[in-house]
Amino acid sequence: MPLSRKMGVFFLLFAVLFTGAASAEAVSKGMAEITYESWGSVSSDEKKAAKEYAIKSAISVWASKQGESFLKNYELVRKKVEGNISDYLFGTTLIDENTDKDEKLYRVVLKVSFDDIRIKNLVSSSSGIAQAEDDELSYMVSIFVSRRQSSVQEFDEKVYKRVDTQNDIRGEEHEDVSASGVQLSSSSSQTTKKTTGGSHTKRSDKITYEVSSSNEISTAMNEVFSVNGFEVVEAEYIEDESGGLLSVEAFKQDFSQGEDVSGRTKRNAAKGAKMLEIPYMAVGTLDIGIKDTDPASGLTRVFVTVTGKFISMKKRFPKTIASVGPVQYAGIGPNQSVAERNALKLASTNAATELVNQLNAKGIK
Amino acid sequence: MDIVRHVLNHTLKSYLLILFLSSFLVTESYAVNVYGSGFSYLGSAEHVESAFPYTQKLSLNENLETSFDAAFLRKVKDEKFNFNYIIKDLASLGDEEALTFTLALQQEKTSIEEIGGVFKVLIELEAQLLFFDFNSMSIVASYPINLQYIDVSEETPSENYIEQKFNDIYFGSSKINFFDIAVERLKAVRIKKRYSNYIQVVNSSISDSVLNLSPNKSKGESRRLSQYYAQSFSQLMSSNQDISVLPYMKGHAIGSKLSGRYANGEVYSLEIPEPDYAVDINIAAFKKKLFSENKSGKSFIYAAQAEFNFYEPLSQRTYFHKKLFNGATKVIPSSQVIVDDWAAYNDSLKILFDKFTRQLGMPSKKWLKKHSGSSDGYKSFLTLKKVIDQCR
Repeated sequence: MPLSRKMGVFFLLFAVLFTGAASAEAVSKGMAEITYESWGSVSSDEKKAAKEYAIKSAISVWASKQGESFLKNYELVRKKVEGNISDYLFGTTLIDENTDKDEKLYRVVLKVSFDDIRIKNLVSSSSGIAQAEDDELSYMVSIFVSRRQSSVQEFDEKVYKRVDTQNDIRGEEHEDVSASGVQLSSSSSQTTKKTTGGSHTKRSDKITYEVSSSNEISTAMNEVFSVNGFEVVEAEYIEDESGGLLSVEAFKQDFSQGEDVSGRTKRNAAKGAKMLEIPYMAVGTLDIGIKDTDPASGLTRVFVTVTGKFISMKKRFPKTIASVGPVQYAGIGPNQSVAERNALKLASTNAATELVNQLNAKGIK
Repeated sequence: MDIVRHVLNHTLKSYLLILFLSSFLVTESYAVNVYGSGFSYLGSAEHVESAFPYTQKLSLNENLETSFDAAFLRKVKDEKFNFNYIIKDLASLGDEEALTFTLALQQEKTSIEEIGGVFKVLIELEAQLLFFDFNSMSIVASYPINLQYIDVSEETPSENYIEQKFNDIYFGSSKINFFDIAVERLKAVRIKKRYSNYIQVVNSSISDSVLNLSPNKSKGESRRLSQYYAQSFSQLMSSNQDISVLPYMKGHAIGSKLSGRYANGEVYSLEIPEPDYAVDINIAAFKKKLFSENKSGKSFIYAAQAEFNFYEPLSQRTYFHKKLFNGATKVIPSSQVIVDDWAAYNDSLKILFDKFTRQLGMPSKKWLKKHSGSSDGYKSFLTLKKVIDQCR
């Protein structure tokens, strides 16, 4: 008999997650509060049902902590997980249980340890791409470039000054005619007005960047896309076949100067991919920030800002179907290059994971 | 008959041998492997740079024989522990059941106070015996330890004098030795690979009236005292109940991460588990009352009152929330002109902490009535035993 029918009235779920989700074992806390109907005290069946709700709530909160797009995908498999909860459960620890006999309330708080990797695998195997037949699978090409400031040209302030001088001379001439002759006299006065003004012009620093499409980025990204069922083709291998339209070099060139990759480069890449019947393209940029010191560890810290788009060329016009960023990730290491690599790897993996979650939520395959 | 006796004797010996071997095997197979990783400092890089001035100065000594790691190693190498303490090998990532241990210094405090023409030097060290999972870099258990060293000098203590005292505390052979205290606690620890639930002091404060009685009334001192009382309570709760108590980390942890640095400069960052049971402490009042007086002197009662709140953070269920007090009598001879009241208040508070943390395992109605003024709330006092049992 369902709990809602049996005990009917009041039900509250609450949970909190307290460890990271990177390991195979996640631990999360769950709480359930029920109004029981048994005479005297709460029955063992009611307790059991409350504990099941606490377990479910713990896993739900864990899922929501994984991000909005993951949660959407989790909703697709929620019933499957909750219906076979013991398959994912490592164990539970009772933290607290309390019965309020006056209010007929039973509350239980559990610490739930479960296999998060299995749940994540279930979520990704339930996606459109994972359920597609081999011949339905679509190719995708990814071009992600990173850059680091190589030089900054600062311009002096341009100062323009203007002085207008205006001279007014006023003169008077007098002519006196008398018996002794004619006498001429003149007098004059001069006024000078000065008007000053001008302008200060500041010019933005000219920053040049060192751009690369490092191995760390493509490895980390392609791993996420491949694991989630995409057939990834690395851009470098199809440049020639696209007749130079899909050019990694063009991406690098654009990103070495401007704030983004130019529309022309993106259009050409889309054309090139479409020409080769590759329906999806992931493009993005990773901006490596200036190093500083991590206050907690004292190690070198580097921030990387990542942006990414997943573009579909299935229809007549290319369309962005998933996007991420700008999001910052920090990498820490004993020196700048290690910190940078760690930050790039973290940013690449997380950006690709977010794109895949969004694609799965939309049922893209 | 001799044959029977011989057979029985032989059988008995074999049985005892098997029993001995099997008990040995059982002990060995259940003991957790713990890799020693040496002495370290707790806190962020900035904190470590400034928080341990005298200890850091000693650590600059390049003589290996007097290094912290060497001193600790000398103390532990012949001791027996309730776990397999591996000090020769490096921690192995393949050994998933193994834990790593560090003796982590958390606070160093030195104060000099002039009382009645003499100088009282107080040195306090707080540390954690930290056991962590090397694979996930998360804390599995922590056992706090404290050291308090008091010395009196007729002259203003110089820097050299204080440095010498620190040297004695770390490397001397006197009764108060930091590494001896650590090893004694370590010997009593029953480490497990996993703990079901964790308890932690999460909030600690002192009232304005208590701060006003302190020789130093600054805000910084208020924070330091809060940290000190939290650590002191945690240490007594851990040792009296033989449980792991997560470190009180106000200002030391960033998020749920706890940073530290080994004596050789290597840094680490550990995940602190979320506490399943939380404790808030507020040191509410210190009071002094004349108890008796005669020609030879006076005796005073130094009362310390503290408020304790034990609760479950998720449901916010309160198990026990009460003010408790303790009175300690101190005799002041007529010849003594100056009295160190602050030390007497703190002694009284420490006794309260000690008695209360002993009660957690076997709550007594009589004790509750004596230290809270009534036996109201005895039912909630009883629930603390369950809380402590859940942390074993």
